[in-house]
Amino acid sequence: MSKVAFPFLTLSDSLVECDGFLIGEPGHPMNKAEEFLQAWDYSRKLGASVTIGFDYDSACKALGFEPGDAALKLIFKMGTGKGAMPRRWETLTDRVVSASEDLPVTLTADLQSHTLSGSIRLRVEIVLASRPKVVSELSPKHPGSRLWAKEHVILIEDGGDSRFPVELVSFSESFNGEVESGALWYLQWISEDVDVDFSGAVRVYVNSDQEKFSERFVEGDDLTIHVLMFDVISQMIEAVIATERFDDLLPECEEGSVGKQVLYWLENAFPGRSLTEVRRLRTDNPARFRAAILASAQPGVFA
Amino acid sequence: MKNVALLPRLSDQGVAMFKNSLRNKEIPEASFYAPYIWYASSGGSPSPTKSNEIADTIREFAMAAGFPESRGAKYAEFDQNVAVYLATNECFSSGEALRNDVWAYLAVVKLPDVVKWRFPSDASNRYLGGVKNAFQRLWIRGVAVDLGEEAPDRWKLLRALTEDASGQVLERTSIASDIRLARNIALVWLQVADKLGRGRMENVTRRAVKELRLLNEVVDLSSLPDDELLKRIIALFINASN
Repeated sequence: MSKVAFPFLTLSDSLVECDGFLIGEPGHPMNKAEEFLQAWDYSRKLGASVTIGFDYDSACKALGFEPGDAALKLIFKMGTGKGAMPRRWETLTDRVVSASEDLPVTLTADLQSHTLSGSIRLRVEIVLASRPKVVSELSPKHPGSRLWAKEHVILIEDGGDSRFPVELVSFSESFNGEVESGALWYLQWISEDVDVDFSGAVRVYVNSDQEKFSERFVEGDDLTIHVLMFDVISQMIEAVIATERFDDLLPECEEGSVGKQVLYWLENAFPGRSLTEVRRLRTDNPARFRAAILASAQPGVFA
Repeated sequence: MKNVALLPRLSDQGVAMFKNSLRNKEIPEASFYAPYIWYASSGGSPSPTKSNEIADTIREFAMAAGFPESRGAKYAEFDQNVAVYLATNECFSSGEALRNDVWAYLAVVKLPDVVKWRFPSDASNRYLGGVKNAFQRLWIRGVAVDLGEEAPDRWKLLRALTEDASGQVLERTSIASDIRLARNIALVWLQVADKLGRGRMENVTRRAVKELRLLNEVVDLSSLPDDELLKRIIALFINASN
């Protein structure tokens, strides 16, 4: 259970059946919680569950209680925050059991994604709910005594830092009366610097007013994302190669910068070609130039 | 669905650059950090304006408390005002508030002069994210001791807790991570301090908190109802005062 030397009897892992934690979207079938949760951000709907079973009478015996004399509380908790110790703990739900018929128990809870950070630590524990009438010398006596626990840590994306910077907004509100208001998407980027952090400098806004398109985008439709990424990559490559002032700067750009990302896209679309060659292709054969980018702009092309 | 205000973050590289500059006794301009500032890619709206407003408000509290002069500076007043402001600021009701890089951005990029005024010793942990960060610690403090809008004296714990007690209780992640536990310790601390006098509380708090952390290893204090939890904490403080 842990490295703590408990001053009272506890339940061994062999007495408690628990296959681990499930996580997923509430209302949908959940998956076994792994070490890493893909595609998380603050807006994602999440739920978790865990099932515990044990022979109640055997548990009472192991704790030095008379069978039927003890009430045990099953607690499902969640911690969050980076580091060895969560910055915040929250009790999601609990259940008191006092007979074998109460078991097994499945504890389920919604997780508030907007309050999460860095990692999710799911914990289920069994504690003493109330002091039994008859106890042995080594029995736990105080309510809350920790008897058994299981934990699982899930790393969540670092606030979405390995995802493409994107936001769903109503263009009729955000760009009211502007030329962008009817667009399907809009790439916001000022192409003055290439050595700035990509996630801070670039953002794609998807128009939530365009319901069909935005629904497909949210669902992760491959073709929709392919077309959108083609446009984004084209815009950024063209802006960067439009001027020679970035040529020396690009190779110096660090991981995570705009320049590094554009270099990755260039290498993907035009493998082995120099910036000068790509620039010439764009001028001499723009259709081929664009087709090369279109072919390379598969979903997942964000490095 | 809640729209999260995505706040600017200072990357590890930016923090490393800052540490170098601190060693050289040079505080760079905010623009120096531009390549090291980033936001979450999705899940909310980038909110640099809100971050600027937060920094401006903290600066105003500092000026009201004597900044940039250190002589006669009212640090306790500054701490209380900032703690209330941060604890009630909607921007910090999301997971952004648990991120060290968000607090490092505020301290290193926006308010290094205010940090230097509040903590003249140049200790880097006052700038970097963590429970010692000049502002993050005040957010933790404000959230933990907030008795709620309905309370007749919502911030009485914030005013009452000494700097030592705040450090002992609220700058320990094992305690501060459970807001209800931290708040109940603060409530008991106030009761005991009224009886014993604040002069004796430093040693009493240190002993009580040490015992409480050991007890929490074997008894899940967060599973106890309020009355039972208070009883256990009171017993620890009484024991520590004998």
